[in-house]
Amino acid sequence: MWMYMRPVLIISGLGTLSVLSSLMLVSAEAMGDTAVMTTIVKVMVLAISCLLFTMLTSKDRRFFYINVGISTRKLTRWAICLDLAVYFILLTTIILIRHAAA
Amino acid sequence: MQQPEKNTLLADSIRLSFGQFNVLNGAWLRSETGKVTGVLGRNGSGKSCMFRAIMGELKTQDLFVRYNDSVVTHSDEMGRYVKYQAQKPFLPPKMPLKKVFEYFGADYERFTDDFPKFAQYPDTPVKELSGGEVRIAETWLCLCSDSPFCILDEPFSYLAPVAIEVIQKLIKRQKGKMGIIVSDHNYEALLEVADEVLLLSDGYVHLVRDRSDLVRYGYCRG
Repeated sequence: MWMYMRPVLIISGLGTLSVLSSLMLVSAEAMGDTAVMTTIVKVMVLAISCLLFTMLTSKDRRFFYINVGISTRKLTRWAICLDLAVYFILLTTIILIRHAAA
Repeated sequence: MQQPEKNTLLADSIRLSFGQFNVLNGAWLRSETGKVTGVLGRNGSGKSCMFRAIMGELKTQDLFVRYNDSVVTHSDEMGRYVKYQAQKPFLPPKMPLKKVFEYFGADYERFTDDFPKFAQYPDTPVKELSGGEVRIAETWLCLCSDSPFCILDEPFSYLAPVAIEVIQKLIKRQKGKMGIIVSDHNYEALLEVADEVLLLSDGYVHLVRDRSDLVRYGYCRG
């Protein structure tokens, strides 16, 4: 999955880091609204990076994975799920830590 | 001596259009173990589109694929039955050649028996090989896999005549173990290895009986 979806995971991972770091900077009261906003931004970054990846990656390259018996559709789905799962775990952790600190 | 299992692959009723432009109008393709099927057609006639559709990478208006007695409904299954050499390079450019062979479950030593020059390249990334060398490695991987079928889309492109001869020998050797579908504009080289030749013209597939059919369908001059 890393080999095939590396560009998407890197861009989306950077997006995750930047939106989560912005959560660390806002006050605890504003965190709820900010979390909703950052989640929207995060999902948009992920969607755009996936779209660009699909458009810019050579379609012939997919046949390497197909030939070795790996479904590129499944790889894409798993990468999106993994990325969102990591995002929501980190988001929940930050919210819990900040609420506990407050 | 044990005979290899005889498998059949049939793709039928392939209809593909892009907007108003009809590419394939009920095209078909068949293959079986022990047979080399040549597919000819002018540029833009839809050969590669047909192969991509069969591999599940191009959405068609209509397509029926049967492997032996079972209908293949899920495109993810196709990789198990058919190895496809795309028209353009498909190997990961940064991956060392030997690692590519490991992914395919292929023996690099066997490959170097057929192409001794590659004995010096096991750790060389694919991007550092020439276009023709990549083509040879891809063709070998598809032809010498355990898959019951392989589709080679322009395997003779970028190759020197000597390499074409080796690939032709490889096709003849491997056809006893698998069904092979070959498409190439080097039709002389293709006709030498093909047991059955199909011509794709105006979205329809025609069975070619002799060279005069190629002239009749406007593929080449007499």
